[in-house]
Amino acid sequence: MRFNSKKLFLNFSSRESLKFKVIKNVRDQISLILLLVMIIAGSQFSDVFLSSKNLLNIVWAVSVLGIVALGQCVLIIACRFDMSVAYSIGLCGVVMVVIQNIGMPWVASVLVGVFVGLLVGTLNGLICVGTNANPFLVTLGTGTLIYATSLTITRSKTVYTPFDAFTDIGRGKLFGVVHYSVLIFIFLAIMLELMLRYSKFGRSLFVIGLNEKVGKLSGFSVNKIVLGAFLICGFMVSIASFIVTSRNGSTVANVGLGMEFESIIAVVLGGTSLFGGSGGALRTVVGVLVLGVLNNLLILMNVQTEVQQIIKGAIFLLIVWLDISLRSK
Amino acid sequence: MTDEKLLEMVNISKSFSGIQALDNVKFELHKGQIHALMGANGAGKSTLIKILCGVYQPDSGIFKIDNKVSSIKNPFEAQKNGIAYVPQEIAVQPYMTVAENIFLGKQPIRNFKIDFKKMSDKAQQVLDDLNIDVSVNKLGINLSIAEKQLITIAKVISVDSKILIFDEATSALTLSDTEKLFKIIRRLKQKGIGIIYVTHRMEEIFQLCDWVTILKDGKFVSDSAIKDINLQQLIRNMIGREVASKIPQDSTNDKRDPTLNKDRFSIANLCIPGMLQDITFSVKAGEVLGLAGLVGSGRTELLRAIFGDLPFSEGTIKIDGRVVRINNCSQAINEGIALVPEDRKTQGLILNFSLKKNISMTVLDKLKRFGLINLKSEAVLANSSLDMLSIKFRTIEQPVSTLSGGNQQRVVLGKWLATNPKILLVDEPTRGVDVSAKSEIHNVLLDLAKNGMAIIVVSSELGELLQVCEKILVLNRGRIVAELLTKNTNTHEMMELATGESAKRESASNAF
Repeated sequence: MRFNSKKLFLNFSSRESLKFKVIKNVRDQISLILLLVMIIAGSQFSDVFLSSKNLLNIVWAVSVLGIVALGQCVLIIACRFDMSVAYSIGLCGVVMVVIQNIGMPWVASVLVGVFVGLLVGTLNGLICVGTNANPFLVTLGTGTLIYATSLTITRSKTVYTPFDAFTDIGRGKLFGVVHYSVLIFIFLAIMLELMLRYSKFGRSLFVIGLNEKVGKLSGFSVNKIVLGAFLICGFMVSIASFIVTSRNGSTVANVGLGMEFESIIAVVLGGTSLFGGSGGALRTVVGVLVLGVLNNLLILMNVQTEVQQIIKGAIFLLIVWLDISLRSK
Repeated sequence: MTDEKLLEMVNISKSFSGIQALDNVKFELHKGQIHALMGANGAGKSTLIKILCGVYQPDSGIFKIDNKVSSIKNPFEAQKNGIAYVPQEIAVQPYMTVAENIFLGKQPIRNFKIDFKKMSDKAQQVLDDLNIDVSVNKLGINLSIAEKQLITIAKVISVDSKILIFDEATSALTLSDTEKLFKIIRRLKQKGIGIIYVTHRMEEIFQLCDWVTILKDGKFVSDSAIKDINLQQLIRNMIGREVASKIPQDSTNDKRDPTLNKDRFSIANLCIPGMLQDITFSVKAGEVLGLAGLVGSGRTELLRAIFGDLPFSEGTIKIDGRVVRINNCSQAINEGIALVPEDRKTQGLILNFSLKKNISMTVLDKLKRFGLINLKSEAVLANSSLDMLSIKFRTIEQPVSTLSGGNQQRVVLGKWLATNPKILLVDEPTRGVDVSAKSEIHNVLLDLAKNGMAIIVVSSELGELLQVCEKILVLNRGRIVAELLTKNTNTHEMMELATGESAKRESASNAF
């Protein structure tokens, strides 16, 4: 698997040519290299770019997307997708704020929000497992249902939280330095990376992502693993929803607009294969940071919004092309 | 044989990222010759064939086709030069008719539409020509495996070609279908087509081929007429030493520990409508039981049913006298059953995974410490399994796809032995494996049996069953038609029982 390949090539080194080793390493860490290139370029373009305040801001800005991408990453490793994340992030927040307004304490409302996320994950997982239908299509469908539910609950309006304490988590900083949301993002990424590397469940995600038949014949329950992956994704979405709602102090049904695609882009930018069976949480963090740094640079350079989109699209295609052309070597 | 040279390859070399796959190899093919290309796994046969088909470009060397120096830069040029390849894997589209499959990509066109009438007629002609008795209107999905293989061959042959390459074409075929294929190949030979024949089955070479080229470790070893070489020489040239091909039979029954002499596993009245009927048999601890039968006779389904991969409506399974209920593979594993599946590449191994991860896959629960996989114990387990099965490897982190077929098969075995099973089910243990690895796998199975494991072996190679099993059950259309003792039977009798039209119970002395 990918994160072991460094050890792998050291052991192989006696038999492989230098060129091959270089290609292999570049291919493996392409997004990390891109990130470093962008950071170096950024330091040339702008004086404020490398300031710690700006760097922390970048991570803060992507932490919500990052947490959603962590959930998406678990599914992509198992060769599945969740297209409903953009709407379930809305539903979790809507539920949290609405029950706060009818008198529930905010801590309890967060727990209910997480429960809603897990419920959505269970629903997606059960439909996929039960019908054997393509997860991409199933979650497009459930996404629409979830969106409609949030719209009905909010009557298509913005809803506001009555608690100031609730907004402290999204806006506040630990010792006035690092945002809580950044710490939550990093914590979740590390926990997920450990789970993917060292737990049986983590290993089984890679197994079914690569070959379900082998997994089944080796005694893994494919259905349970898929359900588990959807539950993790639902959990991550609910945490992301908590952070974004707390940060805004309010929420709307379509607060996560476009996040289903952005999260997939971040995962793939990090070097996780869309065909499953490879990748990891830290890789996804790198992918998310690439997006964040790019956004930050474009803003610092005063690039027009329309042009920003063109550049983002072009860079994404460049990565895909590099990945494929290096892989075929 | 005419002396006209169709193809000459001189000093062909090819390396992949520093590893020399072919080193100054030569190969010659004449018109109307059936030329066996032999070598152990990893000898360079497939690389040579891929160069010939234009898939790879050689680093150096000369190609002569019809005595003219030429080069083959891509598969299309190979086709243009009349080189055709019959793949090992079956390539039949399930929802197209036989005629459509044969003319895939070269359908006759009239008025911008496919001329179905003409296509059926031409397909019928091709099939008649090859004496294949299949309706041209049958859908691919309804064909048996043997029929699919024959249609794949018909598809390749329907293009006029001068050189035909058969790569393990018989690995999925039964004896009678193999005979049919041989007839077709001999007819093609008479037409003056040059045929390159790759196989691991030694006996086929002596039946069919008239010339043999042997490769070893990417180097040319020898070429000679078949009549000038015998089996022992052939094997010695291929692997550089002799292989003990006969395993002493008498040791098994008498010397076994008497305490082992009770039923370890038994199955009664197993039924799966349309697949298996009334299957009843038992296996003792330390016994190797063979299951013979044609492809589609239900032998693979029987193993899958025992392993919980195929639900059955009726029947009881007992292990050590205790009735067990098995609904899925994980329950089967917990009951001490292991299945080495038919196809190691798609069912047995995850090719991108390292050796370590493939082996530990079945026992992750046992490797857990504080809820996480203990990577140290995992490495210890992998190392000891690989050593026990004498698998050659560089590091436990290398992807299993880098191993040869024989070693891959042993990794599958290792993965299952790690679960410490009481009952080992093996489906085609040596398909696509070279002679030396084959005999080593047989020895491993016999050793395991000696230590008290009950083993059930399914194989298309009847000779293999005669070598490793004490008792053989013959399946025919989902029923057990005979129980034979190895010492009293032969391939001929097994074949007759397996192909017999009426599924009656035969051989009075051995029937139950």
